[in-house]
Amino acid sequence: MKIVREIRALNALVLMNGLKPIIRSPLWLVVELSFPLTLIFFISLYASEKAVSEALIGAAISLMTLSGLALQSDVVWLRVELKFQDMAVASPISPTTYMLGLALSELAYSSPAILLIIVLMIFRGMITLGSIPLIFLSLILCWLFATSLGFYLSTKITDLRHIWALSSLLSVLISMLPPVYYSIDLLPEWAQALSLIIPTTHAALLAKDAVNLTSLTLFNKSISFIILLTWTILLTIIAANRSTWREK
Amino acid sequence: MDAVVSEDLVKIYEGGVKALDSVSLSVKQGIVYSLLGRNGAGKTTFLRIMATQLLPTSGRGHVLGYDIVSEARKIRENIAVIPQESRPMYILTVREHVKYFLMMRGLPMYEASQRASRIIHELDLEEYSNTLCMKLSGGLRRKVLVAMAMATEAEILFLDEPTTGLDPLSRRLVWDVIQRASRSGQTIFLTTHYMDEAEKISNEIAIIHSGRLLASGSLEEFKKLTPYKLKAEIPADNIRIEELREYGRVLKLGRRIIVYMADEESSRKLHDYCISTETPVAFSPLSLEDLFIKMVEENENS
Repeated sequence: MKIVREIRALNALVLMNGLKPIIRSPLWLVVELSFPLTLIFFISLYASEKAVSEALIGAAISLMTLSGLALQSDVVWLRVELKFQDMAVASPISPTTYMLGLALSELAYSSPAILLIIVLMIFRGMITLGSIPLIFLSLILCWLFATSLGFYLSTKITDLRHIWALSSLLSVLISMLPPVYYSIDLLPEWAQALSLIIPTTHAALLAKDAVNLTSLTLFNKSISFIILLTWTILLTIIAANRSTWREK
Repeated sequence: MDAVVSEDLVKIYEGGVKALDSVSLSVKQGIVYSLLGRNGAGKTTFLRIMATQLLPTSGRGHVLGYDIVSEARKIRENIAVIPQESRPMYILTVREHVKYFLMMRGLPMYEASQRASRIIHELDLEEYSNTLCMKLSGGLRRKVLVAMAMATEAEILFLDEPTTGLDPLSRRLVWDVIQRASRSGQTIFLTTHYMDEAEKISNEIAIIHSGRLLASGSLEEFKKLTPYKLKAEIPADNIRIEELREYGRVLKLGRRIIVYMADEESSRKLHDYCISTETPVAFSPLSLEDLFIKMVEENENS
Protein backbone atom coordinates (compact mmCIF):
# COMPACT_ATOMS: atom_id res chain seq x y z
CA MET A 1 0.00 0.00 0.00
CA LYS A 2 1.68 3.13 -1.23
CA ILE A 3 -0.20 5.48 1.09
CA VAL A 4 0.86 3.49 4.16
CA ARG A 5 4.49 3.73 3.10
CA GLU A 6 4.12 7.46 2.55
CA ILE A 7 2.67 7.89 6.04
CA ARG A 8 5.59 5.92 7.52
CA ALA A 9 8.00 8.16 5.65
CA LEU A 10 6.23 11.28 6.93
CA ASN A 11 6.31 9.91 10.45
CA ALA A 12 10.03 9.19 10.16
CA LEU A 13 10.84 12.66 8.89
CA VAL A 14 8.79 14.35 11.62
CA LEU A 15 10.56 12.27 14.25
CA MET A 16 14.01 12.81 12.74
CA ASN A 17 13.83 16.49 12.02
CA GLY A 18 11.13 17.66 14.42
CA LEU A 19 10.14 15.81 17.56
CA LYS A 20 13.46 14.25 18.59
CA PRO A 21 15.47 17.46 18.11
CA ILE A 22 12.79 19.43 19.99
CA ILE A 23 12.89 17.02 22.93
CA ARG A 24 16.67 17.32 23.05
CA SER A 25 16.79 21.06 22.47
CA PRO A 26 13.52 22.59 23.70
CA LEU A 27 15.00 26.09 23.59
CA TRP A 28 13.89 26.19 19.96
CA LEU A 29 10.27 26.31 21.11
CA VAL A 30 11.02 29.47 23.09
CA VAL A 31 12.76 30.96 20.05
CA GLU A 32 9.66 30.29 17.95
CA LEU A 33 7.48 31.99 20.55
CA SER A 34 9.70 34.95 21.25
CA PHE A 35 9.34 36.81 17.95
CA PRO A 36 5.51 37.06 17.65
CA LEU A 37 5.02 37.55 21.37
CA THR A 38 7.50 40.42 21.41
CA LEU A 39 5.63 42.13 18.59
CA ILE A 40 2.30 41.64 20.34
CA PHE A 41 3.82 43.02 23.54
CA PHE A 42 4.97 46.22 21.81
CA ILE A 43 1.64 46.64 20.02
CA SER A 44 -0.21 46.20 23.32
CA LEU A 45 1.88 49.02 24.82
CA TYR A 46 1.11 51.55 22.12
CA ALA A 47 -2.10 50.54 20.39
CA SER A 48 -5.76 49.81 21.01
CA GLU A 49 -7.40 46.55 22.10
CA LYS A 50 -8.52 46.01 18.50
CA ALA A 51 -4.91 46.34 17.31
CA VAL A 52 -3.83 43.69 19.82
CA SER A 53 -6.51 41.35 18.47
CA GLU A 54 -5.29 42.04 14.93
CA ALA A 55 -1.74 41.34 16.05
CA LEU A 56 -2.81 37.99 17.51
CA ILE A 57 -4.31 36.98 14.15
CA GLY A 58 -1.16 38.27 12.50
CA ALA A 59 1.02 36.24 14.85
CA ALA A 60 -0.82 33.03 13.98
CA ILE A 61 -0.47 33.70 10.25
CA SER A 62 3.11 34.79 10.63
CA LEU A 63 4.01 31.66 12.61
CA MET A 64 2.54 29.38 9.94
CA THR A 65 4.33 31.30 7.19
CA LEU A 66 7.66 31.32 9.01
CA SER A 67 7.28 27.61 9.69
CA GLY A 68 6.98 27.01 5.95
CA LEU A 69 9.89 29.29 5.12
CA ALA A 70 12.06 27.67 7.81
CA LEU A 71 12.00 24.57 5.61
CA GLN A 72 14.52 26.28 3.34
CA SER A 73 17.39 26.17 5.81
CA ASP A 74 16.79 22.55 6.74
CA VAL A 75 16.53 21.35 3.15
CA VAL A 76 19.82 23.04 2.25
CA TRP A 77 21.46 21.80 5.45
CA LEU A 78 20.36 18.22 4.79
CA ARG A 79 21.39 18.37 1.16
CA VAL A 80 24.65 20.31 1.24
CA GLU A 81 26.11 19.65 4.67
CA LEU A 82 24.89 16.15 5.53
CA LYS A 83 24.22 14.78 2.00
CA PHE A 84 21.07 13.27 3.46
CA GLN A 85 19.01 14.30 0.45
CA ASP A 86 21.26 12.17 -1.76
CA MET A 87 20.32 9.18 0.37
CA ALA A 88 16.66 10.16 0.08
CA VAL A 89 16.82 10.63 -3.69
CA ALA A 90 18.25 7.13 -4.10
CA SER A 91 15.36 5.64 -2.12
CA PRO A 92 11.67 5.01 -2.72
CA ILE A 93 10.57 8.30 -1.10
CA SER A 94 9.08 10.88 -3.48
CA PRO A 95 10.18 14.53 -3.43
CA THR A 96 6.65 15.57 -2.44
CA THR A 97 6.65 13.27 0.58
CA TYR A 98 10.14 14.44 1.51
CA MET A 99 9.00 18.07 1.30
CA LEU A 100 5.81 17.41 3.25
CA GLY A 101 7.62 15.38 5.91
CA LEU A 102 10.18 18.11 6.50
CA ALA A 103 7.45 20.77 6.43
CA LEU A 104 5.49 18.88 9.10
CA SER A 105 8.66 18.58 11.15
CA GLU A 106 9.01 22.38 10.99
CA LEU A 107 5.39 22.71 12.07
CA ALA A 108 6.24 20.71 15.18
CA TYR A 109 8.49 23.60 16.26
CA SER A 110 5.76 26.20 15.67
CA SER A 111 2.81 24.22 17.06
CA PRO A 112 3.18 25.17 20.75
CA ALA A 113 3.46 28.86 19.80
CA ILE A 114 0.42 28.65 17.53
CA LEU A 115 -1.52 26.87 20.25
CA LEU A 116 -0.62 29.60 22.72
CA ILE A 117 -1.80 32.30 20.28
CA ILE A 118 -5.08 30.41 19.78
CA VAL A 119 -5.53 30.10 23.54
CA LEU A 120 -4.97 33.86 23.87
CA MET A 121 -7.53 34.45 21.12
CA ILE A 122 -10.06 32.23 22.89
CA PHE A 123 -9.30 33.99 26.18
CA ARG A 124 -10.04 37.33 24.54
CA GLY A 125 -13.32 35.95 23.13
CA MET A 126 -12.19 36.32 19.53
CA ILE A 127 -12.92 32.81 18.31
CA THR A 128 -16.37 31.39 17.81
CA LEU A 129 -17.31 28.01 16.40
CA GLY A 130 -18.34 29.67 13.17
CA SER A 131 -15.01 31.44 12.73
CA ILE A 132 -12.85 28.33 13.16
CA PRO A 133 -13.10 26.93 9.58
CA LEU A 134 -12.06 30.18 7.89
CA ILE A 135 -9.20 30.84 10.34
CA PHE A 136 -8.02 27.26 9.97
CA LEU A 137 -8.23 27.43 6.16
CA SER A 138 -6.28 30.69 6.02
CA LEU A 139 -3.55 29.28 8.24
CA ILE A 140 -3.23 26.04 6.26
CA LEU A 141 -3.10 27.82 2.91
CA CYS A 142 -0.44 30.20 4.21
CA TRP A 143 1.61 27.28 5.46
CA LEU A 144 1.31 25.37 2.18
CA PHE A 145 2.22 28.45 0.18
CA ALA A 146 5.30 29.21 2.27
CA THR A 147 6.35 25.55 2.38
CA SER A 148 6.20 25.20 -1.40
CA LEU A 149 8.05 28.48 -1.90
CA GLY A 150 10.67 27.49 0.66
CA PHE A 151 11.23 24.03 -0.80
CA TYR A 152 11.46 25.27 -4.38
CA LEU A 153 14.00 27.95 -3.51
CA SER A 154 16.03 25.66 -1.28
CA THR A 155 16.64 23.16 -4.06
CA LYS A 156 18.16 25.89 -6.20
CA ILE A 157 20.61 27.20 -3.63
CA THR A 158 23.86 25.49 -2.71
CA ASP A 159 25.26 27.72 0.00
CA LEU A 160 23.72 27.68 3.45
CA ARG A 161 24.67 31.31 4.07
CA HIS A 162 22.66 32.40 1.03
CA ILE A 163 19.58 30.61 2.26
CA TRP A 164 19.86 32.25 5.70
CA ALA A 165 19.87 35.66 4.03
CA LEU A 166 17.05 34.77 1.65
CA SER A 167 14.98 33.26 4.43
CA SER A 168 15.28 36.41 6.57
CA LEU A 169 14.40 38.64 3.64
CA LEU A 170 11.36 36.57 2.68
CA SER A 171 10.18 36.53 6.29
CA VAL A 172 10.15 40.32 6.32
CA LEU A 173 8.52 40.64 2.90
CA ILE A 174 5.83 38.03 3.46
CA SER A 175 4.99 38.10 7.13
CA MET A 176 6.23 41.38 8.64
CA LEU A 177 5.83 44.16 6.11
CA PRO A 178 2.36 43.37 4.68
CA PRO A 179 -0.75 44.10 6.77
CA VAL A 180 -0.65 40.87 8.71
CA TYR A 181 0.01 42.16 12.23
CA TYR A 182 -1.82 45.44 11.59
CA SER A 183 -4.92 46.68 9.76
CA ILE A 184 -4.68 47.22 6.01
CA ASP A 185 -6.63 50.48 6.53
CA LEU A 186 -3.53 52.02 8.14
CA LEU A 187 -1.73 51.93 4.78
CA PRO A 188 -2.03 54.60 2.05
CA GLU A 189 -4.03 53.47 -0.97
CA TRP A 190 -1.05 52.69 -3.20
CA ALA A 191 0.50 50.55 -0.47
CA GLN A 192 -2.82 48.79 0.09
CA ALA A 193 -2.92 47.90 -3.61
CA LEU A 194 0.68 46.70 -3.45
CA SER A 195 0.06 44.60 -0.37
CA LEU A 196 -2.81 42.81 -2.10
CA ILE A 197 -0.28 41.02 -4.31
CA ILE A 198 1.02 39.20 -1.24
CA PRO A 199 -0.94 36.09 -0.22
CA THR A 200 -0.46 36.59 3.52
CA THR A 201 -2.40 39.88 3.25
CA HIS A 202 -5.42 37.91 2.02
CA ALA A 203 -4.99 35.24 4.69
CA ALA A 204 -4.97 37.99 7.31
CA LEU A 205 -8.03 39.69 5.75
CA LEU A 206 -9.99 36.43 5.77
CA ALA A 207 -9.00 35.51 9.31
CA LYS A 208 -9.72 39.04 10.61
CA ASP A 209 -13.09 38.96 8.88
CA ALA A 210 -13.84 35.61 10.52
CA VAL A 211 -13.35 37.15 13.99
CA ASN A 212 -15.18 40.38 13.05
CA LEU A 213 -12.11 42.62 13.14
CA THR A 214 -12.91 43.73 9.64
CA SER A 215 -15.96 43.40 7.46
CA LEU A 216 -15.46 42.09 3.95
CA THR A 217 -18.22 41.85 1.37
CA LEU A 218 -18.87 38.36 0.02
CA PHE A 219 -17.25 39.48 -3.24
CA ASN A 220 -14.08 40.72 -1.52
CA LYS A 221 -13.98 37.63 0.63
CA SER A 222 -14.20 35.44 -2.47
CA ILE A 223 -11.49 37.43 -4.24
CA SER A 224 -9.19 37.13 -1.23
CA PHE A 225 -9.82 33.42 -1.02
CA ILE A 226 -9.22 32.92 -4.76
CA ILE A 227 -5.96 34.88 -4.70
CA LEU A 228 -4.69 32.98 -1.66
CA LEU A 229 -5.71 29.64 -3.17
CA THR A 230 -4.20 30.49 -6.56
CA TRP A 231 -0.86 31.41 -4.98
CA THR A 232 -0.86 28.20 -2.98
CA ILE A 233 -1.74 25.96 -5.94
CA LEU A 234 0.74 27.74 -8.19
CA LEU A 235 3.61 27.41 -5.73
CA THR A 236 2.70 23.79 -4.94
CA ILE A 237 2.78 22.93 -8.65
CA ILE A 238 6.10 24.74 -9.08
CA ALA A 239 7.57 22.99 -6.03
CA ALA A 240 6.37 19.58 -7.21
CA ASN A 241 7.54 19.99 -10.79
CA ARG A 242 10.33 22.50 -10.87
CA SER A 243 12.28 21.73 -7.72
CA THR A 244 15.61 20.04 -8.29
CA TRP A 245 15.41 16.52 -6.92
CA ARG A 246 17.69 14.71 -9.31
CA GLU A 247 20.59 16.95 -10.29
CA LYS A 248 21.25 17.85 -13.90
CA MET B 1 20.88 -9.91 -16.26
CA ASP B 2 23.69 -7.69 -15.00
CA ALA B 3 23.05 -5.50 -11.97
CA VAL B 4 24.65 -2.35 -13.34
CA VAL B 5 25.35 -1.61 -17.00
CA SER B 6 26.60 1.58 -18.59
CA GLU B 7 27.10 2.19 -22.31
CA ASP B 8 29.13 5.17 -23.51
CA LEU B 9 28.13 7.22 -20.51
CA VAL B 10 29.16 10.86 -20.77
CA LYS B 11 28.80 13.61 -18.20
CA ILE B 12 29.69 17.19 -18.94
CA TYR B 13 28.97 19.60 -16.10
CA GLU B 14 27.88 23.19 -16.57
CA GLY B 15 31.01 25.11 -17.44
CA GLY B 16 32.17 22.37 -19.77
CA VAL B 17 34.03 20.09 -17.36
CA LYS B 18 33.94 16.58 -18.80
CA ALA B 19 33.68 14.26 -15.81
CA LEU B 20 32.92 11.06 -17.72
CA ASP B 21 34.06 10.22 -21.21
CA SER B 22 32.19 7.33 -22.80
CA VAL B 23 32.31 4.95 -19.85
CA SER B 24 31.03 1.44 -20.56
CA LEU B 25 31.06 -1.26 -17.92
CA SER B 26 28.89 -4.01 -16.50
CA VAL B 27 28.57 -5.39 -13.01
CA LYS B 28 27.27 -8.90 -12.40
CA GLN B 29 24.67 -9.49 -9.72
CA GLY B 30 25.79 -10.56 -6.26
CA ILE B 31 29.38 -9.37 -6.48
CA VAL B 32 31.49 -6.66 -4.88
CA TYR B 33 32.63 -4.28 -7.61
CA SER B 34 35.16 -1.57 -6.84
CA LEU B 35 35.70 1.51 -8.93
CA LEU B 36 39.18 2.90 -8.34
CA GLY B 37 40.54 6.25 -9.36
CA ARG B 38 42.40 9.32 -8.23
CA ASN B 39 40.61 12.34 -6.79
CA GLY B 40 38.46 13.89 -9.51
CA ALA B 41 38.74 10.82 -11.76
CA GLY B 42 34.96 10.57 -12.13
CA LYS B 43 34.18 7.82 -9.60
CA THR B 44 31.55 9.75 -7.67
CA THR B 45 29.97 11.16 -10.81
CA PHE B 46 29.59 7.66 -12.23
CA LEU B 47 28.15 6.33 -8.97
CA ARG B 48 25.72 9.23 -8.64
CA ILE B 49 24.48 8.78 -12.20
CA MET B 50 23.89 5.05 -11.76
CA ALA B 51 22.22 5.68 -8.37
CA THR B 52 19.77 8.06 -10.13
CA GLN B 53 20.98 11.15 -8.27
CA LEU B 54 22.46 12.83 -11.31
CA LEU B 55 21.46 12.86 -14.97
CA PRO B 56 23.99 11.85 -17.62
CA THR B 57 24.73 14.14 -20.56
CA SER B 58 24.58 11.23 -23.00
CA GLY B 59 24.91 7.48 -23.14
CA ARG B 60 22.77 4.81 -21.55
CA GLY B 61 22.66 3.11 -18.21
CA HIS B 62 20.64 0.31 -16.66
CA VAL B 63 20.32 -0.82 -13.09
CA LEU B 64 18.63 -4.21 -12.63
CA GLY B 65 17.42 -3.83 -16.18
CA TYR B 66 15.74 -0.48 -15.58
CA ASP B 67 16.77 2.61 -17.48
CA ILE B 68 18.51 5.14 -15.23
CA VAL B 69 16.76 8.10 -16.85
CA SER B 70 13.22 6.97 -17.56
CA GLU B 71 12.76 4.28 -14.88
CA ALA B 72 14.51 5.90 -11.93
CA ARG B 73 11.59 5.23 -9.57
CA LYS B 74 11.82 1.48 -10.10
CA ILE B 75 15.56 1.58 -9.51
CA ARG B 76 15.15 3.58 -6.29
CA GLU B 77 12.97 0.83 -4.82
CA ASN B 78 15.95 -1.51 -5.00
CA ILE B 79 19.02 0.52 -4.15
CA ALA B 80 20.61 2.34 -1.23
CA VAL B 81 23.47 4.82 -1.22
CA ILE B 82 26.14 6.16 1.09
CA PRO B 83 27.24 9.45 -0.43
CA GLN B 84 30.79 10.67 -0.16
CA GLU B 85 31.39 13.03 2.77
CA SER B 86 27.92 12.41 4.19
CA ARG B 87 27.33 12.83 7.89
CA PRO B 88 24.61 11.70 10.29
CA MET B 89 22.33 14.15 12.06
CA TYR B 90 24.10 15.05 15.25
CA ILE B 91 20.99 15.27 17.39
CA LEU B 92 19.85 11.68 16.77
CA THR B 93 21.19 8.51 18.36
CA VAL B 94 22.78 5.74 16.32
CA ARG B 95 19.74 3.54 16.70
CA GLU B 96 17.28 6.30 15.80
CA HIS B 97 19.28 7.06 12.70
CA VAL B 98 19.07 3.57 11.31
CA LYS B 99 15.47 3.04 12.38
CA TYR B 100 14.08 6.30 11.03
CA PHE B 101 15.98 5.92 7.78
CA LEU B 102 14.35 2.54 7.24
CA MET B 103 10.95 3.99 8.13
CA MET B 104 11.55 6.78 5.65
CA ARG B 105 12.05 4.10 3.02
CA GLY B 106 8.63 2.71 3.92
CA LEU B 107 9.34 -0.03 6.45
CA PRO B 108 6.98 -0.52 9.41
CA MET B 109 8.35 0.76 12.72
CA TYR B 110 8.66 -2.71 14.26
CA GLU B 111 10.59 -4.17 11.33
CA ALA B 112 12.78 -1.08 11.14
CA SER B 113 13.56 -1.47 14.80
CA GLN B 114 14.44 -5.17 14.43
CA ARG B 115 16.71 -4.52 11.47
CA ALA B 116 18.37 -1.61 13.26
CA SER B 117 19.19 -3.88 16.21
CA ARG B 118 20.62 -6.52 13.90
CA ILE B 119 22.91 -4.23 11.93
CA ILE B 120 24.02 -2.39 15.07
CA HIS B 121 25.08 -5.75 16.47
CA GLU B 122 26.82 -6.81 13.23
CA LEU B 123 28.78 -3.59 13.02
CA ASP B 124 29.74 -3.72 16.67
CA LEU B 125 27.91 -0.47 17.42
CA GLU B 126 25.88 -1.77 20.39
CA GLU B 127 27.95 0.21 22.87
CA TYR B 128 26.95 3.41 21.04
CA SER B 129 23.40 2.44 20.16
CA ASN B 130 21.81 5.15 22.31
CA THR B 131 24.60 7.69 21.96
CA LEU B 132 23.92 10.92 20.10
CA CYS B 133 25.88 11.08 16.86
CA MET B 134 27.38 14.44 17.92
CA LYS B 135 29.32 12.54 20.60
CA LEU B 136 30.80 10.01 18.17
CA SER B 137 34.19 10.16 16.48
CA GLY B 138 34.39 10.78 12.72
CA GLY B 139 34.98 7.10 12.05
CA LEU B 140 32.02 5.99 14.12
CA ARG B 141 29.79 8.51 12.35
CA ARG B 142 30.85 6.97 9.04
CA LYS B 143 29.99 3.58 10.46
CA VAL B 144 26.48 4.80 11.28
CA LEU B 145 26.01 5.66 7.61
CA VAL B 146 27.25 2.24 6.61
CA ALA B 147 24.73 0.75 9.04
CA MET B 148 21.92 2.81 7.49
CA ALA B 149 22.70 1.60 3.98
CA MET B 150 23.34 -2.03 4.93
CA ALA B 151 20.14 -2.22 7.00
CA THR B 152 18.04 -1.47 3.92
CA GLU B 153 18.92 -4.91 2.52
CA ALA B 154 18.55 -3.29 -0.90
CA GLU B 155 19.47 -5.37 -3.94
CA ILE B 156 22.25 -2.97 -4.88
CA LEU B 157 24.28 -0.85 -2.50
CA PHE B 158 26.19 2.09 -3.92
CA LEU B 159 28.88 2.99 -1.41
CA ASP B 160 31.01 6.03 -2.13
CA GLU B 161 34.22 5.62 -0.14
CA PRO B 162 32.42 3.85 2.71
CA THR B 163 35.44 3.27 4.93
CA THR B 164 37.08 6.68 4.73
CA GLY B 165 38.06 7.74 8.24
CA LEU B 166 37.62 4.32 9.82
CA ASP B 167 40.33 2.70 11.91
CA PRO B 168 41.81 -0.57 10.58
CA LEU B 169 39.66 -2.78 12.81
CA SER B 170 36.44 -0.96 11.89
CA ARG B 171 37.39 -1.15 8.21
CA ARG B 172 37.70 -4.90 8.49
CA LEU B 173 34.36 -5.09 10.26
CA VAL B 174 32.74 -3.15 7.42
CA TRP B 175 34.46 -5.40 4.88
CA ASP B 176 32.99 -8.43 6.65
CA VAL B 177 29.50 -6.95 6.49
CA ILE B 178 29.95 -6.04 2.81
CA GLN B 179 31.16 -9.53 1.95
CA ARG B 180 28.33 -11.11 3.92
CA ALA B 181 25.83 -8.93 2.04
CA SER B 182 27.40 -10.00 -1.23
CA ARG B 183 27.23 -13.67 -0.26
CA SER B 184 23.53 -13.26 0.48
CA GLY B 185 22.98 -12.03 -3.07
CA GLN B 186 23.29 -8.23 -2.74
CA THR B 187 25.41 -6.39 -5.28
CA ILE B 188 27.88 -3.92 -3.84
CA PHE B 189 29.21 -1.14 -6.05
CA LEU B 190 31.81 0.85 -4.22
CA THR B 191 34.36 3.52 -4.90
CA THR B 192 37.53 3.64 -2.89
CA HIS B 193 41.01 5.09 -2.66
CA TYR B 194 42.21 2.12 -0.65
CA MET B 195 43.81 -0.44 -2.94
CA ASP B 196 44.07 -3.01 -0.15
CA GLU B 197 40.33 -2.65 0.38
CA ALA B 198 39.57 -3.25 -3.28
CA GLU B 199 42.02 -6.15 -3.40
CA LYS B 200 40.63 -7.73 -0.26
CA ILE B 201 36.89 -7.57 -0.83
CA SER B 202 36.24 -7.09 -4.55
CA ASN B 203 35.29 -9.74 -7.04
CA GLU B 204 35.84 -7.29 -9.84
CA ILE B 205 37.66 -3.99 -10.16
CA ALA B 206 37.63 -1.09 -12.58
CA ILE B 207 40.08 1.78 -12.88
CA ILE B 208 38.89 5.15 -14.03
CA HIS B 209 41.15 8.07 -14.87
CA SER B 210 40.20 11.54 -16.13
CA GLY B 211 36.69 10.28 -16.80
CA ARG B 212 37.83 7.33 -18.92
CA LEU B 213 37.70 3.68 -17.97
CA LEU B 214 41.21 2.27 -18.22
CA ALA B 215 40.49 -1.36 -17.37
CA SER B 216 38.05 -3.64 -15.63
CA GLY B 217 37.98 -7.26 -14.57
CA SER B 218 38.99 -9.56 -11.75
CA LEU B 219 42.27 -9.11 -9.89
CA GLU B 220 43.73 -12.09 -11.78
CA GLU B 221 42.76 -10.51 -15.08
CA PHE B 222 44.39 -7.28 -13.98
CA LYS B 223 47.62 -9.05 -13.15
CA LYS B 224 47.67 -10.53 -16.67
CA LEU B 225 47.66 -7.01 -18.09
CA THR B 226 51.29 -6.53 -17.08
CA PRO B 227 54.40 -8.65 -17.71
CA TYR B 228 55.80 -7.69 -14.30
CA LYS B 229 55.56 -9.99 -11.31
CA LEU B 230 57.77 -8.37 -8.70
CA LYS B 231 58.73 -4.90 -7.58
CA ALA B 232 61.55 -3.35 -5.63
CA GLU B 233 61.41 -0.11 -3.69
CA ILE B 234 64.59 1.91 -3.37
CA PRO B 235 65.12 5.33 -1.73
CA ALA B 236 65.72 7.90 -4.44
CA ASP B 237 68.73 9.45 -2.65
CA ASN B 238 72.21 8.82 -4.04
CA ILE B 239 71.16 6.55 -6.88
CA ARG B 240 71.08 7.04 -10.62
CA ILE B 241 67.83 5.93 -12.22
CA GLU B 242 69.63 5.05 -15.48
CA GLU B 243 71.61 2.35 -13.70
CA LEU B 244 68.41 0.60 -12.66
CA ARG B 245 66.80 0.42 -16.07
CA GLU B 246 68.53 -2.82 -17.01
CA TYR B 247 66.62 -4.65 -14.24
CA GLY B 248 63.12 -3.64 -15.30
CA ARG B 249 60.72 -0.76 -15.66
CA VAL B 250 61.70 2.15 -13.42
CA LEU B 251 59.30 4.65 -11.91
CA LYS B 252 60.15 7.57 -9.62
CA LEU B 253 57.48 8.40 -7.05
CA GLY B 254 58.50 11.30 -4.82
CA ARG B 255 61.52 10.19 -2.84
CA ARG B 256 61.09 6.52 -3.86
CA ILE B 257 62.16 4.62 -6.93
CA ILE B 258 60.11 1.58 -7.90
CA VAL B 259 61.52 -1.06 -10.21
CA TYR B 260 59.03 -3.48 -11.77
CA MET B 261 60.59 -6.80 -12.78
CA ALA B 262 59.33 -9.58 -14.97
CA ASP B 263 61.23 -12.50 -13.40
CA GLU B 264 63.26 -13.64 -10.43
CA GLU B 265 66.50 -13.45 -12.38
CA SER B 266 66.13 -9.67 -12.69
CA SER B 267 65.32 -9.36 -9.02
CA ARG B 268 68.42 -11.40 -8.11
CA LYS B 269 70.59 -9.12 -10.22
CA LEU B 270 69.06 -6.02 -8.66
CA HIS B 271 69.57 -7.52 -5.22
CA ASP B 272 73.28 -8.03 -5.98
CA TYR B 273 73.56 -4.52 -7.35
CA CYS B 274 71.98 -3.05 -4.20
CA ILE B 275 74.32 -5.05 -1.95
CA SER B 276 77.36 -3.93 -3.91
CA THR B 277 76.31 -0.29 -3.74
CA GLU B 278 75.01 -0.57 -0.17
CA THR B 279 71.60 0.64 -1.26
CA PRO B 280 68.59 -0.32 0.88
CA VAL B 281 65.96 -2.22 -1.12
CA ALA B 282 62.64 -3.95 -0.40
CA PHE B 283 61.24 -6.61 -2.71
CA SER B 284 57.56 -7.59 -2.88
CA PRO B 285 55.08 -9.17 -5.27
CA LEU B 286 53.13 -6.83 -7.53
CA SER B 287 49.99 -5.45 -5.83
CA LEU B 288 46.87 -3.79 -7.12
CA GLU B 289 48.33 -0.46 -6.05
CA ASP B 290 51.28 -1.05 -8.38
CA LEU B 291 48.98 -1.92 -11.23
CA PHE B 292 46.94 1.17 -10.52
CA ILE B 293 49.97 3.47 -10.41
CA LYS B 294 51.38 1.93 -13.58
CA MET B 295 48.12 2.27 -15.51
CA VAL B 296 47.49 5.84 -14.42
CA GLU B 297 51.08 6.81 -15.13
CA GLU B 298 51.01 5.23 -18.59
CA ASN B 299 47.73 6.94 -19.32
CA GLU B 300 49.08 10.31 -18.26
CA ASN B 301 52.22 9.85 -20.36
CA SER B 302 50.21 8.88 -23.41
